[in-house]
Amino acid sequence: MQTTYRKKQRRKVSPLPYLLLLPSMALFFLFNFYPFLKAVILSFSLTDKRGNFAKWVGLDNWVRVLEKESFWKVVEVTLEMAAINLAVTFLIALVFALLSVRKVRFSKWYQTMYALPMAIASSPAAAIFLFIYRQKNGLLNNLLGTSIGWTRQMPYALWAVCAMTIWMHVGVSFIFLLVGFRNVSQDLLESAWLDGAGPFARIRYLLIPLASPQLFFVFFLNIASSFRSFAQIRLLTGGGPANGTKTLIYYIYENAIINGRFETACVQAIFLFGLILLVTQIQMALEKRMVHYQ
Amino acid sequence: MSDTKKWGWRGAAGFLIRLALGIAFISPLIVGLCFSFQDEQTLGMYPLKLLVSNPTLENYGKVFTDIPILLYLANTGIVCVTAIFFQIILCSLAAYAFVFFEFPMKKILFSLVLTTTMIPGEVVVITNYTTIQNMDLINTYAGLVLPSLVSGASIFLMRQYFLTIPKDYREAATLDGCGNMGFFFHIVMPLSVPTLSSLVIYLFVQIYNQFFWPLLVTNTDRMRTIQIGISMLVTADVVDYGQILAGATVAILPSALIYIFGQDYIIRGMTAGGVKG
Amino acid sequence: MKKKLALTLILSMALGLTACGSAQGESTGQDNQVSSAAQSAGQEEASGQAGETTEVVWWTYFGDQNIEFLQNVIDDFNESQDEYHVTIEYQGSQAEMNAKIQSTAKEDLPALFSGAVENVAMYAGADYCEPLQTYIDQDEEGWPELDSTWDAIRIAYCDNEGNQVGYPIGYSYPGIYYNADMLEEAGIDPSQIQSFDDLYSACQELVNGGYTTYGIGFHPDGFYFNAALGREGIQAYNNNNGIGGEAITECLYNSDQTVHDAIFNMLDVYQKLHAENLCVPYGTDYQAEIIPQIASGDCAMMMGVVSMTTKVLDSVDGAFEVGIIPMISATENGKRTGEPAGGTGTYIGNNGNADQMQGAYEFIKFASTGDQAAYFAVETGYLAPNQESFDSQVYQDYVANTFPAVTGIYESLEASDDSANNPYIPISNEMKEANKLAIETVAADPSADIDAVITTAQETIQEAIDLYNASNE
Repeated sequence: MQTTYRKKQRRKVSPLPYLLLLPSMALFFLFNFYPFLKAVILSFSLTDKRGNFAKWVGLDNWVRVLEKESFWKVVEVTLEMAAINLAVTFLIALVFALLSVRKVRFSKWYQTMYALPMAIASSPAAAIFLFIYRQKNGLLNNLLGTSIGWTRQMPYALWAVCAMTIWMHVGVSFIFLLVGFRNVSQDLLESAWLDGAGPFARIRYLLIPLASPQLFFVFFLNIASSFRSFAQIRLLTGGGPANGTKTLIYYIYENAIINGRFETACVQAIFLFGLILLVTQIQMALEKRMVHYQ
Repeated sequence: MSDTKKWGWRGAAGFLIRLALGIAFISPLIVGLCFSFQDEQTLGMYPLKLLVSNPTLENYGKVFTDIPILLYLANTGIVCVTAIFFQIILCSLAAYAFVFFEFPMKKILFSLVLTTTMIPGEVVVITNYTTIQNMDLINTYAGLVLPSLVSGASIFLMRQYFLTIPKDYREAATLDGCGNMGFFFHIVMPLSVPTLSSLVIYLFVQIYNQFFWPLLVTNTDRMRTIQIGISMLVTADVVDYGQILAGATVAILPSALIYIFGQDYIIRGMTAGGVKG
Repeated sequence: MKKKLALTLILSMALGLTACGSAQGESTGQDNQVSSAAQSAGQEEASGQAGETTEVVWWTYFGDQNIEFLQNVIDDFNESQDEYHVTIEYQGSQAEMNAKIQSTAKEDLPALFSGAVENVAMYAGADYCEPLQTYIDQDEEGWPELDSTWDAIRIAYCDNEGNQVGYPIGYSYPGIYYNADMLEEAGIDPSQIQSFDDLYSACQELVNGGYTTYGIGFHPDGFYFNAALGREGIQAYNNNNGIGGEAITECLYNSDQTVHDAIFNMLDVYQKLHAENLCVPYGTDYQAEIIPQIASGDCAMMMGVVSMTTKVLDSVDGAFEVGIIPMISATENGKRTGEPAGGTGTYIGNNGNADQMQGAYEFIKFASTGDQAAYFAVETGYLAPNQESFDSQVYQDYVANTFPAVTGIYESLEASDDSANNPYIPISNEMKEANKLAIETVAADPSADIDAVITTAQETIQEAIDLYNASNE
């Protein structure tokens, strides 16, 4: 569709599209590209406390950062968290979406509840989770009768952070999946029902394949948002215990904001940028091959 | 007869299970709400008292007297409305260009838009602060909203929706003497209302949650936003949990309400825009 | 919107006429153009006309409760004279505020800001901070409270040449709170707990004797690591911990045997305390969990700073007597005469506006006077920084009625010398984090190799020192 359309438009180049893009591009340039280019340049230099250029060091920063064992541990934690967040968010969202796919009276009630946490800001949410996670007089241990330091014992701390991230992210995935499932025509489902297909067969052979664009999108959305989740780590564990929950984005914050080591943060940020870019490329490549478009 | 009755019974059970799941899922919010009515002495007690006794409004009283929370909410409102208004206009225009026009460098420009979503904010924020200072916009609404006036994600979302608008609409509009901008304002935008609404809510939640940027570009109480007020309750040698929970509840309420009343639009918007690429 | 704009305009004009300089603080921000106009107008008037009120802005990371107390001090100052008007503004956490102040343009800086005492070296070397000394030297009236400030405190706020950089408003002191009734019952004399080894045996007696669940809980902060070394009387960094005038270039955790052994011993105790379940696990939040356990008798002691007093006393609520002993040393050999500083100070921000900066100095002086400093100390639990405030009626009442145990801290302060203060180091964040990580590692893993842990900390800190020195040559 796009190619035929393109042919028709080839006649002359009008300045209009550039004008339409101008304000956005100007703002992007000012607040995204310029600072990011600056970060790229700074990654090859030393910076003073203000985050300004002090002197060239070539590849030294890159070597220093990438050589460090602790850096790769952080990358490992980042990937591990992304995997957990992805798997669990996806699963919960899938179950919620399957449960809500039929519109009935009052179905909006539970549908609202399943998605509500996506509207909650991370800092108030963290305040509540901290209260729940306290060890001695926390709600969770009180209910379970346990005495676990949820935010400062491994591996619990990792799961505690993931639980909050998952809680906040299920909503978006749920809505995308719900929309995907509801787009599957009711007639198809009815006829499958008449053919004697049980609920699981209907999910397996109808809903899942037909909603594959949504499933696919949600899959990668969760990886990207997991890479970016930051506030819950800062507020729940501060990257601890013993760096067990320190992710790349938190590491970047620590270097840039707390320690004032800007060049180090720049190297790590470019690395993270590369990681997200890689995931996006994989996503696009796979999407072309695997996704079934109606 | 008995069949339908059985159906009804099963339906009701299913409904109750689904509802119970939902309540379990939002239980952290319920917990926060309940314990925010508990006084500090009880909250600090060990072991924790699970049942809320002697509910008190004291925490809320303190939050409202200690922090100009209504002022902060008003500021947050102004910031959200301005940023969302501009994002909708600017991002729709950009998406319109990407979908309905062919022009050299289109692919490169679109890739650039996509890259903006991958830049970690933590490294650009300090440079942006310097930029805003150089523009002399510290302590202004302009300074607060400028970096949030466009976003790659919004352009992407609008583009995805515009791609589903049949191209013949445009030819028909051109035949009717509708110019490019006329087509945009009279046909494309009205058609996009559901998608726009979902974008509005998505953006609202995002901008409402901003913390570090507003902290940097404002120095005075008069310009502060709600998230800063909440952090003020936490950053102290002496933390009052009751107050924190009360503050959290006050901060959660507006965005939760916006979500509850706007969710139909979100869902409709996502249905319309879809994720077809 | 238009209506609002017009209203703002009128409002700010009216304010501008009646309050001149103070209009800057009052009317900022209703609208961009209006506010920046009002701001620049305010600034011009403030610096241009003598005799008008100069607006002095104070950036702080204190939370709302302490700001409330400080506001009372500020109100008194604002009423005491009409040359200056101080406004306090919250700027996020300490790290966030430092990041902000570092990248703020000179003319937008506040004339007054709060900063941790561990960061004195950073502030002294920074162009955004004007050392107090400049103003002290010009002060013809003199500043008696400065002369009567406890030496250990005063020195902590000096640069490595003895120039005063800032002055404490919120000086805190590391120590160990204890349940006096429980320790007495167990037959433990708290004054004999002076080193990490003493702490270990006390915890063993308390827990194994069945008096309580946990011997001690720790405020999880790398600061106590240095505090213990300071009490030990050893310098963990070269060039006399940076105090002699030369900057620190080396972290001695591994290269100096005494330093290494002291750290080893301390980490060893942390590891044993955790392995034997004698302490609340490291990293537990002190406000939400440790203090409630102290209050319920489930924990006997807490390593913290003196500014936690109010919270501790409120929670215990008279159920038993609460005592405090000064910070312990890393080993038995500790001299215990060095006083590692903690807490917050106030500094003059160099924004180029001489009137505002003078006002900042006047305020710091005012806040250090007997009644004012005593008021803040009594409300929060921070120390009274000087003799006048300690002697004031308010503080004496506090000592007599609220927290008699605090006198032990002052005795220790008086006996202190400058043998080992905090290292004078501009990378205190990295240092504290590396030290905290070391404690976390041995606390979490009973089999962690302490030598390896020390080496990791040393390498991290050394890298930070090298980077700092290389980028500030």
